Amino acid sequence: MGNQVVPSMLRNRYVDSFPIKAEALSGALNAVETKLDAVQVRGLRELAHKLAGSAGMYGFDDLGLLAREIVRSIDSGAPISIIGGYTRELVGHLQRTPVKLPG
Amino acid sequence: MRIDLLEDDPDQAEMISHWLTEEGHEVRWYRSGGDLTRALHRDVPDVLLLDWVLPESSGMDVLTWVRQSFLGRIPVVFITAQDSEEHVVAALQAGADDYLVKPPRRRELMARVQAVGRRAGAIMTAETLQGTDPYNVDIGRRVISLKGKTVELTSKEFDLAAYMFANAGRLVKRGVLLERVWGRSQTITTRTVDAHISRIRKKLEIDEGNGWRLISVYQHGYRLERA
Repeated sequence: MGNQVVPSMLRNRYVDSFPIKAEALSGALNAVETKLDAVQVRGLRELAHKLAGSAGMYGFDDLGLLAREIVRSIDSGAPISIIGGYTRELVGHLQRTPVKLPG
Repeated sequence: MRIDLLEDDPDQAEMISHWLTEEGHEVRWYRSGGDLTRALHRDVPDVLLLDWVLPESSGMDVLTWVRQSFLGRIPVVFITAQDSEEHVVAALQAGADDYLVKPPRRRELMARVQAVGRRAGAIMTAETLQGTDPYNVDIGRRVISLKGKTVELTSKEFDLAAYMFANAGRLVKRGVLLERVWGRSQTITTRTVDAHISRIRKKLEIDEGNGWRLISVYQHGYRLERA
């Protein structure tokens, strides 16, 4: 996954979406922590699920692995503290925006 | 090949489309099962790539619909984050031709798409098509024989017949035949396709006596299938 050649234009566009993704994840986690119900959890899971699918394709394997951990911990019924820990870590990664490629 | 992609995430759809178009494929992207099935009524692709988890109908719903429809045998590949053995088995048992766990790796995805396309006849690489008895379709020599006797065909008639045999069991749109055999010529119409279909049916004696039928599917196209 990580050795795939990703065109800089596509990669940069993906990186540009990191702040939005981080905000969406934070919002979803906040909703889960405020009101723990199936709808809120599903919202967080969907965001993580999409990131788990896309991150590796764009060369961000570490983000993909973290996102997958969120999905797995939700699916296995892990405590909210575990889910929250993974989500905050992922948000932190997204906020440390990687260097964009020229072109 | 013409490839339809069902994927609700624009990030993933963009990269997969990029990979496929770089390899010379034509990609149409759909975000929902409803959009895709509506499009399939108009035009049938060579390969279908399906995500499993979608906001409305799932990839499995689409696969079930495709396999029960009149569309014939479209090769279907799942690209999904569902990585359990149960999911893989369920998809294959429901009629999927292959299964990739996300995130897909570029070269592997390309190889699998090529493989299902080849198996389905969308890519003609074999010198002689298999499973066409009592016909022998020799792509290399551009000759079709029936029970060992060569049938005289024009170049276009051969191309058309070979394409239909390569896609036996699948609904092939008139527009697809036009594009594949005549190369999107502005002066050729679908009536030309109909006329050529009629000629190859007659010349090749495609009938129940020879174990095949070439049927017209109203407003859609043609399907060559075992009688």
